[in-house]
Amino acid sequence: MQAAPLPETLADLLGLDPSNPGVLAVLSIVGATIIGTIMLLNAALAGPWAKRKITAAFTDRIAVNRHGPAGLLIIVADAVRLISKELIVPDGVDRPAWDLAPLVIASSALLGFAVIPMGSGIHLADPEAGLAYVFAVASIASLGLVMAGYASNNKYSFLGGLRAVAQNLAYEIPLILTGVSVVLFAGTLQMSGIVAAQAETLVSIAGIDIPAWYAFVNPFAFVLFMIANLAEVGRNPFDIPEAPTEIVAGYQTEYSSVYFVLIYLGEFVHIFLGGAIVATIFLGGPAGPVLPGIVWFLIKIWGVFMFTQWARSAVPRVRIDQLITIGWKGLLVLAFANLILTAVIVGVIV
Amino acid sequence: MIGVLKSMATTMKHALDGETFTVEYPETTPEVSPRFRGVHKFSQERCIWCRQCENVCPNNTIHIVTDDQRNGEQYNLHIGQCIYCRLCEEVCPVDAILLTQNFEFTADTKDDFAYNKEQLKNVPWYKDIDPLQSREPDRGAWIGEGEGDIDYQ
Repeated sequence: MQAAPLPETLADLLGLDPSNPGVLAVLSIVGATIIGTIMLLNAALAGPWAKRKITAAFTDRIAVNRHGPAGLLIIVADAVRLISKELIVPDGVDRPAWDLAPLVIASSALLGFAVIPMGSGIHLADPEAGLAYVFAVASIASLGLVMAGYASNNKYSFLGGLRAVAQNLAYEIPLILTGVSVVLFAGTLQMSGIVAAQAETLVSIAGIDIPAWYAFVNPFAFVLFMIANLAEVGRNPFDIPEAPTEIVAGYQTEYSSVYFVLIYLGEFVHIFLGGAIVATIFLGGPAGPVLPGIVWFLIKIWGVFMFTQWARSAVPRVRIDQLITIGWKGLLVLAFANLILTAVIVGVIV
Repeated sequence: MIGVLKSMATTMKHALDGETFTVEYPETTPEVSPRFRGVHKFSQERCIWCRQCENVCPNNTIHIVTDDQRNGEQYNLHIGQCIYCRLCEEVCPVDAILLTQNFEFTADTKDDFAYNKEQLKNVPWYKDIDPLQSREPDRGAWIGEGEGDIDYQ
């Protein structure tokens, strides 16, 4: 049985009538707030703290440990530090676009969580075009990158924005093509349908049922998707748009204070959205034994986040021309091969 | 591709064994290599005031003042200006100036780093290591390079 979307669950809990449009609107806002809070809390934890801790573990270092238990209070310190900085607006910026870009980057990632089933009834909406919607809103971030780069009145930012959008275009197509191969298996774009299709048992080995998660059914597509996802969220080895050590932040060079926080947070929410998509379409969504669904879902998202940090500490950054070559000549071809293979398997065998 | 997998395996191995290369500095002091070049220690008993260290110093960090009898009066060394090239130590015929392993020095102004003779004499050994002793094998190899079939010197 599928969990009802969150507003209706809330209506049931509070004893209200979910068919009343006013009640539904209010409860939808409440539900969106709950989901937004969960994801922002996770992203705020991941940004300043977990990233340092995980990378330090991979590189044999000691990370933040002076502020609070295990250095957790560094989040508070970082927040105070960043928010108390002066917001510097350079001369000649294109003001509306410059102001809107951080909001677009931060909100586009959050929008995606609206249709993702997180288990335990936390699922805001379940439209039939669920997966298409997620990919669509996730790619709005590219618009934000171009806005930020173009409006900054700075040639480095402009080039950074172009780099970022070139990368996003090159990797979005393999990403979505790989997603389509999952849709072929599941036969639906609806997120709850994709999750339900993975609940079946693939094989039973020694009494343990292996569920038909698409990561097990089609590991090739899973690997392709993970690689394209790394590039899509701009993490190593594909973090040329940002490249903090070599080409200094690219599109976000001119941003300071709260705007910088929004961009930074947006990036981490984007990683989490990428993780949520991977978890939903390849790892059975919130499915898992004993623990409640939402816990499993968060574990899977954090697993993907750990993987991005792992790749970050292990793989060197690729040059921009190599990046475009890998995207257009490597991943795209493999993604098409995977799609055709999947279509043949689904059409002929299943 | 194999290289990528290898590097990921290596990093994961390091992450799982839980060892750290860095230390929490004020509580635990790091291991310093015997060849590390820290603050200078000066020995007035050994010094013959030959001024070779002053002459060899590439950026005029050492200032020696002697009277008309060539008896030493002052030996000033600006440890903030020094580039720690160890030339003064190498050129000294009596090992009167040595670079210790001591890196723990701070000051409020740059002027505080201009050490005089007394301050240089009072620089402590680091963890009781005699730097000359610990660098001795290295020195032997350095000096012995000219021996053999081909004379590099």
